[in-house]
Amino acid sequence: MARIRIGRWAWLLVVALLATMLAFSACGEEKEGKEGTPQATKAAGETPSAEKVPGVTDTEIVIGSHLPLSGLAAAWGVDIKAGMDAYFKYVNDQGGVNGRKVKLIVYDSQYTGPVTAEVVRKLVEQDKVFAIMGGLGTAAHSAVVKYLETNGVPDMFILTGDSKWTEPVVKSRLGFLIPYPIEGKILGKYIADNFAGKKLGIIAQNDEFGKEGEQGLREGVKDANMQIVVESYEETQNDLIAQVQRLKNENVDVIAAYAMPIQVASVIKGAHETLSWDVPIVITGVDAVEIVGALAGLDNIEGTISVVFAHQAFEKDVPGIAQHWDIMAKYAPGVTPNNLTMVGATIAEAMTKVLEDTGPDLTREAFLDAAESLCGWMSSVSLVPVNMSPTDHRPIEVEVYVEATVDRSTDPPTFTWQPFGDPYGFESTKECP
Amino acid sequence: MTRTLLRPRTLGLVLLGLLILGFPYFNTMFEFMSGWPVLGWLLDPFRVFQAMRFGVWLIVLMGLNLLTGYNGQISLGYAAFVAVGAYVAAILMTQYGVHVIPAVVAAGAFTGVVGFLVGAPALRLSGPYLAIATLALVIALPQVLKHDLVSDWTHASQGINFYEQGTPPVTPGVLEDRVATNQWLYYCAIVPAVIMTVLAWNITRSRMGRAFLAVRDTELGAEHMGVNVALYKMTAFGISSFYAGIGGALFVFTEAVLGPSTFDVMMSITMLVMIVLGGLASILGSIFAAAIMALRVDIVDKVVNLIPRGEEFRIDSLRGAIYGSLLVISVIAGPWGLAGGLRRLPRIRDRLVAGKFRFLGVSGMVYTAVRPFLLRRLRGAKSADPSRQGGTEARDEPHQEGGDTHRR
Repeated sequence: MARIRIGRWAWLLVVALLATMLAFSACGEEKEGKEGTPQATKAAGETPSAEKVPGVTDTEIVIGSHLPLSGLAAAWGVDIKAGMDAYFKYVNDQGGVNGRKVKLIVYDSQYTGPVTAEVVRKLVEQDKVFAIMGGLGTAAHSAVVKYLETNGVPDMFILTGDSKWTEPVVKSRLGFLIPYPIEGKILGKYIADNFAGKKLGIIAQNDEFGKEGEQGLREGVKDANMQIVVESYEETQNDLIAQVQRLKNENVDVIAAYAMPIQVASVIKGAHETLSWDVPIVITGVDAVEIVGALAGLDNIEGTISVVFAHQAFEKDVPGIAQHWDIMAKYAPGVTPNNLTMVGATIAEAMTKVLEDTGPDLTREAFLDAAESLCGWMSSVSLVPVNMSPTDHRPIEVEVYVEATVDRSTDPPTFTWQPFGDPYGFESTKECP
Repeated sequence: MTRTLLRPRTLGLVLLGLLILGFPYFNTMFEFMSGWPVLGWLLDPFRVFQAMRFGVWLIVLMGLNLLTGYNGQISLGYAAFVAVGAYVAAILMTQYGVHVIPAVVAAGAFTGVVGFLVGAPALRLSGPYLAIATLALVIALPQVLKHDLVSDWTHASQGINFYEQGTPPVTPGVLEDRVATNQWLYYCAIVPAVIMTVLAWNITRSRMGRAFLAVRDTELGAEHMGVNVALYKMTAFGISSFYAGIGGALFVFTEAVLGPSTFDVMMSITMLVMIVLGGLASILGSIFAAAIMALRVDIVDKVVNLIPRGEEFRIDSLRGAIYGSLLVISVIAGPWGLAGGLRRLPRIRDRLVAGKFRFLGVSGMVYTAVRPFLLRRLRGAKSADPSRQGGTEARDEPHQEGGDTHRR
């Protein structure tokens, strides 16, 4: 008896629910229809200003980013995020961009594809961001790059140097770091100039990063008549002493490493300390950060060659760097400025510049046009101008060599990457219009 | 006929079915509720994507729960099977133009066979030794996938990308106007998830499921009862790999991108942690596990945002620690997992009433105030304070273990 009574009520509930569902779905369709009409007019291109741009209101621009804030690469993400946050806070305190404040949302990508796919969808579908900027990690960003492309979300200043971001050129996507093949060529030129006719040992991570770097290095030393030995390793492997030992057995004269900071430190320490082997080492610009010195040991890293694209955090006499220290002191106290916070601040600055250039009528189209026409622009910390064009989506194609230097007159000794020589590179936009 | 339909249980299932089927449309249907506290959270359009992920994880974690929860074999290499399924399906779909349904089934079958064969060494290993052996699988797999012999299929470290090498998943033409792509993908994941859940429900309640449990609890005893231990251990591996294969195939179909490091050691460990959190040896536990897996990014983010940002205190660098401590707290608070906790709820309530838990401070005061009401509601006004009579011990007993056993 009781059972039947429950059943009757529940059935009433089901019927009521169904009825509401039907009613609302009818409403929903009607609404969709209504929304459909303005879209049709939009397509006809009548009033672009009436278009609702995602993430843009009269007072705010919402920008999203995915960075590794936990996991293997957290050391990068946390500092880069601090740099970005501080710079946008500074911009907002100056009155924002064309009267709009910038709101930056950063989610933890954990440096993996599946999590990145999730957080980027969250940024686009839930937070309705205007653009994504500074996505870090080749594997992580690969998982979302096509999603962003098909949804027309500007994918700005990707923080990895994979060449596939900018080749072929896609309107809504801009690289940032120098593509690894180009960087490899720049490093290769240094090797060719100094070690022509000798034997080169390459240590490359067994993925796109290592493969592209190796390809660039090979091209760079093509005419120098060098013998090349390649050792590869998996990204999960932290200790590369075995690879270094094999290169030593091969009697190479110089080592070039395309590896992540921990592994590069292992190579430097393994060669100079463990094996007492005084071999010159050239490393990718990804590792031209302070932390590598601490990981490898200051005595070991001295003399190591790399490349950078901008002034570094230690050059406090450069006005842009001094400003960065001020901004960080004010908006991110507790974070010591370093080359990673610099990277964050620099892409935030580039983003601000493009937003400013776009003007008050902010649409994604106009924004991307403004980004493409960025030419001859020097950020406050630039060593070389940023040149882009509709066929060139690489802001940085020229770099400056640096040498690991330890100043022992201070206590504790200070470690810096000291620039030397002229900028060198392969700029594809020769002249600004 | 009408009588069976009127049963609350049937009705619950009907409602659940409607909920699952209508979910992607709720956010437009009940738009006016979007500001409401709990419902508003559920009605966010982004939940459709998360629900899709939930469906995929449900299949994957259900398989792991069958192996580890029901059969007691700890596998740290489960992600390798998921990866195998994903790769098989992706290669079939992008390079041989196979339709998604046969591709998913083939991926499941292939992975199932692989798992069954890999299960053979499991006969000789158990506990930590098995865990280490399976760990080797997941560590070795990325290198195998990047090897020159298979790189024509797997595209080495570049991985498989449906956008470049095939066609990304879209709603088929007939439904194009009515179903958006993310809604379509939701159905693609949730329908197999429901089928696989029903299948798992039936497996665990069949002769095979009982044999799994018997082997887990005591191998010797199971053998004496006439259970073919070797066969059932391998079968458990096979079935769980079948689930992994289907889950992996759906993952790559809905995600459209796959690389050799997508399913790595961390993913394997995370999956194991999730089923422990959700509840071992329980279908409901797998459902909870999948829900946590789908929402974990949200959860950690919420907790991180709860903590005030001090000037010197950089919370961002502590995310890993927060995630870890959340896990530790949940395991200490409920070693039986969420599903086990739910089952134990009546018993906990009894203990509350019996005054077996000690409360201090504010919670103690609240408890003292609330206790008489609890007592009245549970036992009726007549019943005296049972803690003085000590008669609750016996009351606890019937709750001790439910139908399907659960081991701690």
